[in-house]
Amino acid sequence: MSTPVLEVRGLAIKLPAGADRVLAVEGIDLKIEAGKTLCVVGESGSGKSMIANAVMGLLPRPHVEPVAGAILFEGEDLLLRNEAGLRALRGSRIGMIFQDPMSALNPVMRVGEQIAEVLDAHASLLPGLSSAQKRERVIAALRDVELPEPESIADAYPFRLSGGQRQRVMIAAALILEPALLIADEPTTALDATTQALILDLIRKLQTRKRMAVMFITHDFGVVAKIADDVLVLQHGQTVESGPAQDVLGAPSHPYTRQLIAAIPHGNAAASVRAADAPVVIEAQSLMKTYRTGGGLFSKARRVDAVHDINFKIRRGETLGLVGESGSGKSSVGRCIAGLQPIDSGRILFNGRNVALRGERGTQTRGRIQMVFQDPQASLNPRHRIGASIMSGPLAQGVSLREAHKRAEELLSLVGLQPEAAERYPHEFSGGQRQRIGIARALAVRPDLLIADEPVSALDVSVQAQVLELFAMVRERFNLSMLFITHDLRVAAQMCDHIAVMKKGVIVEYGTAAQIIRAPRDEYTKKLIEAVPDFSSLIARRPTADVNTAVNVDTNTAGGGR
Amino acid sequence: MNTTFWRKFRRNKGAVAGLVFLVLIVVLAALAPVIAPNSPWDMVQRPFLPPLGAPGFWFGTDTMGRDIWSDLAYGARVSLLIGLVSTLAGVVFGTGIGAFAGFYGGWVDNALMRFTELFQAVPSFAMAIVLVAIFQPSVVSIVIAIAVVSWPPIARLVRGEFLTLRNRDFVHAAKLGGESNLRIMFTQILPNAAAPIIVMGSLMVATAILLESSLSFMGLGDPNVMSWGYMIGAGRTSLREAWWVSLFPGVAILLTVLALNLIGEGLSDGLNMRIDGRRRA
Repeated sequence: MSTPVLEVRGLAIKLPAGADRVLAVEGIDLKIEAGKTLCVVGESGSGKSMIANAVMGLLPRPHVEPVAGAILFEGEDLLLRNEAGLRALRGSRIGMIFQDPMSALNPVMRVGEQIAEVLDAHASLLPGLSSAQKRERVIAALRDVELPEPESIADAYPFRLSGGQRQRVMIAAALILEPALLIADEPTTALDATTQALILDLIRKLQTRKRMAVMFITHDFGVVAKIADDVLVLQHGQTVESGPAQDVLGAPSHPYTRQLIAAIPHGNAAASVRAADAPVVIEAQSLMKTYRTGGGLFSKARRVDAVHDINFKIRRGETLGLVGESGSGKSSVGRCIAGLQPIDSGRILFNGRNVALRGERGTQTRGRIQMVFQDPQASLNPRHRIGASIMSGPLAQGVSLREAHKRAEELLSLVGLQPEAAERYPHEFSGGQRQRIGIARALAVRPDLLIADEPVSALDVSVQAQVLELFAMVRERFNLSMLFITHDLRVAAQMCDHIAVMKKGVIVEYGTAAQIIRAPRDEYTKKLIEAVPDFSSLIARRPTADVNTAVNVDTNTAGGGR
Repeated sequence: MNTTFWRKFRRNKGAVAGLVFLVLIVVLAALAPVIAPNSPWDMVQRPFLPPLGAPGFWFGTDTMGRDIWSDLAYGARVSLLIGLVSTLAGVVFGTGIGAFAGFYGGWVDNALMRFTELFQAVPSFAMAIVLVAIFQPSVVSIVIAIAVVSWPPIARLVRGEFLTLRNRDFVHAAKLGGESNLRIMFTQILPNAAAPIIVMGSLMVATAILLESSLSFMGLGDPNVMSWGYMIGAGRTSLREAWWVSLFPGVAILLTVLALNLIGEGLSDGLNMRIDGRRRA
């Protein structure tokens, strides 16, 4: 083999004093050959992005700085290069794409101009490039990433493009000078499952064609299974396991890797449906909600049917999963049911009473419908202690202070936190812990219906699994009805009795979880199921021979970069 | 929580200097009868005595032979009192208007904001003059006039904060918990909007002191109290013969306003918070 495109030896990066550990990463060894993909896997805080930023020379020096090791790019140590030397490589020999396509593009610049900036920055590589030729290159790059009508997209502003299209534009910009190495830092995490599948395919395809080396940073083992040749698993800045993908995935040797793989939602639907004859807690009848935007003196109002003629019912103790991609209106349904948004027409029957009527809402549902929100950062008041946050609901219901105290304490221990947590502020807790606190707060007022709006999508996979378990536990314990809103079919299958698949404000398919997963009838549902980065696809993609060799894992020890 | 605030505040050297100076002014105002030997109104020396012209008269005397040092000390009381009280009134009123407008939105917001614009459309100094002239110049009328012209920016600021904060999930959670709107506004949202209000308030004290000085300079000050603006106004006719009469109160106003602005900046450094409750590094 020739020299690898990227080789990292014994890399250690120090963190500023006062951080939770001294070194962000330590003793990192990795190697990527041309045309291969290395997936760096770890949970948030494991230091995986640090490695990427170190390669790109993007660390915020001198606070965060490599202190040991070497980063060899095509045989040359990047750590010895100065800023100007690194600049010459960035964009031309090493390309990078980021997690959030919404903020990676400049909103006031046309897409084509932004891609052309890469060409301008490396003008010395392309002497005498006329503006017409430049445009040609840009359009060719956009065509490469399979964007429809590349000419019109080059002239469009970013706000007109969807998230997936923007990520394609970012890829086009990263690849326009045909770099030898592409670093992708969680490029699909912010995208819908179907879009994610398309982007992963695209990266795979471009890589094969251009024989690029790809360093792919992710926390999702589903993605790893789909795209990786080699895998490096990080925990607290240390390599716990590394090696060819089929070895690591097929027969993980380190307990942490096994734990991560086990935490992937299995997506096995429960066979039986609970509570088939229990009383109906909530029923939605032809729910309608339309948003109107704009509509000034000179502009026409835009209408979006967020919720269009939605019907469902949830019995006591039963969980309904509402699945759809972003913009499908699933969150709007949740908010309408909770009463955070008025509905345009239709009926919401809560324990048989129509609460959509003016005035009925307050008296009938007061505290009986609770929500758990997506963003653990925003769902707790940063100025209130945890105890106060949990107790404010019961106190508003007229529960005595002592009783509220007792409930807060019980619930904190129920969700797996110490009672002392009540005295602390939200910023002292991790995302998963805050989500637990959010669940405790929702349960404090003894609700009948719990609406969970993407409660685990902001969490790491292993934390996600624990929070889902907690949901299942409290559901049994309090005999709760749940409306579980998620974009992840695997999660829905695992959690729910019934699933409703939503698209553009309409329920396109409704059935028991098992029916939806095993025998989907609607085309859209089928597409969603296919897009799920399934673990078993690893076995499907690899030749069987590879899988057999995976039995020999003894040589593949933790910490050894091969 | 307070320790991080102080650490941040102390890092801003200008803010610390401003705070030290402001404390000195407050001490000067509080101890005026002790520090200043003469009453601000008594003629104690010959008029136009230059600074250091006679023992004990470091800052000289004015057109009527009054001790400028004593005038400065007593003037500090009025300037600080009016600055603080009028700002407090303006902040309380502005926060109330802004909170309701931002929280309820819709027609409530429209009505309250048009009402606010009514005050913003009139030049604030002209309005203050008119108000003081109508109500007879007195400390109370000056405080009211300054409060009336200074609340609109606070209302706009608070409205903006409430508009974004009311859509936070923790506010939704409080609603679902059955908390009343007033309770949500003042226990859930207001603490999160406090930082910018405090910062703006500290800057408003500075503006209020300037406004009071301008009013007194025009002869619209309370005739029964000595103030820095009045001193400048009284000395202005003899500026070429006796520069010190106007200069010292002018410097006092300048430094006090500067100190307040520096403190405001320090507060903004110290109170700045990200939504997750951590402070920016």
